[in-house]
Amino acid sequence: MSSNRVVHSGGGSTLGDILERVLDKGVVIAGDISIAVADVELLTIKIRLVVASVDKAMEMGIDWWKADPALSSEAYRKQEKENLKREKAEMIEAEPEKPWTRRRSRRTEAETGEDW
Amino acid sequence: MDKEKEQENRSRDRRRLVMKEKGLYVYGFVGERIDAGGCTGIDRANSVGLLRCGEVYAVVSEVDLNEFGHPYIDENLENIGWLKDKAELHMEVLNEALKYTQVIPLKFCTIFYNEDKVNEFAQEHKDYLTENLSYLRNKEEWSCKVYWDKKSYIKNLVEKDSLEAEEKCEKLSKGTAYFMRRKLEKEYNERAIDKANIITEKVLETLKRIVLEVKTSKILAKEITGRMEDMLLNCALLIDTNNKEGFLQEIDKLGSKVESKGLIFEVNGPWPPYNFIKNLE
Repeated sequence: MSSNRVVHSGGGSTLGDILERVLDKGVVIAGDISIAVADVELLTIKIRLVVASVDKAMEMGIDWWKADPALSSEAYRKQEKENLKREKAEMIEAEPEKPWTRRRSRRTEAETGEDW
Repeated sequence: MDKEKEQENRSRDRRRLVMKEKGLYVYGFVGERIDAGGCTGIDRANSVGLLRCGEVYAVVSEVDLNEFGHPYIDENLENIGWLKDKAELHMEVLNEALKYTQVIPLKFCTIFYNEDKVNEFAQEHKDYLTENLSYLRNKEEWSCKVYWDKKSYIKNLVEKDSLEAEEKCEKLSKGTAYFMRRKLEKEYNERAIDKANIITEKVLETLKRIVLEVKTSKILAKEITGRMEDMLLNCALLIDTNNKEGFLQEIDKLGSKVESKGLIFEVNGPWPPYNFIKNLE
C-alpha cells in the first residue's frame, strides 16, 4: 500500500504491540473477575500486565509527558516553579561558568520553534 | 464409603462436568455482516463466525472451557508461550475483520457461556456498541514509536565538545582529570536526554497537528519490543481514513526529520481501535 520507509502496514507489528493492546486494552466486560459472574454470566480473566511500566522510562530520564499539558495538567505550573527555583539557586551559587558544567535550559531550547 | 473418598469422587465429577463445557470466545463486535469464514479461532480448531445480536454482530469462535475456563486458564496464562500464541491469534482474527469493517475489540479471553449470553450482553449495551462504532466509522488506529540508541546518540551529539574537553583534561593532573571526565559524562548524558525529550515533544506536537487524536501509551521494555534500542515514545493515532494518503505523506516527512536527528521512527497500522474505544462504565 505504501512504499514508505517508516510505515509498516500490518506486517511490521511486534509481539510488544500485540500484548500491549490485547492484554492491557479492549472492552472489559466484567472487570476483575476470573469466573462466571452473577448477573451476566460470562467469563473474563484478570490479566497481569506484562508490559513494562512508565517507572522504567523515568529511571532512564525520559519524562517528556511531564511537560505535556495534555498529559499532565500540572506540568506547566511545575515547570515554571522549577525554573524559578533553578534561577534562584544559580544566582546564589553564582559560580563562574565553565563550558562543561553549563546546564542547557530545556525550556528555552524547546521554545525556539522550528529548529529541532 | 469413607467421607474423604466420597468428596474426592464428587469433585472429580464436577471437574468432568466442567471439561465437557464449551464457551463462546468473543473477539469483538462489528456493525455489519462480514465474511469471517475460514479464519481459524484462538484454539486453532474451531473457526471464526459471526453471531447476530440485533443491530451488531459478535465475532466469535467456540472454545473448550478446559483450556480457556477457570481454573485452567490461570495456569495457561502463566505460560508465556501459550500467552504469546493466543494473543497473536486474537489479534489475527481482529485484523481479519478489520479488513472489512471497523471493530470494537474486547479484552483478551472474554468468554461467554453461550450465544444467548452474548446476545443478552449486546442487547443490554446496544447504545454503547453502536455509539462506539459510529464514532470510529471511517477512522483507523495507527501506532507511532520513537526509539534511540542512547550510547551512539551521545557519541554523535558531543563528538566535537568531547574532543576539546579531552584535550583540556590531558593538561590536568590525574585526579582532577578523573573527576572532570566523570562530570563531563554526566553532563553529556543530561544533554542527550534533554535533546531527546525536546524531539519527542516536537514529534507529539506534529502528530497532534496531522491526526484526529493522539493517545500516549506506556513505554515498553526491551524484553517486550525485542529491540536493542530503548523506546522514547509510544503513542496511538486516530486517523481519518479519507485522508490516509495525506497522513502517510506527513508521517514520511516527520520520520525523515526524526531520523535525521539520529533517532529511530516507526509507524504501524492499521490496528483495531484499542486506544480509542470508550470503555464501559
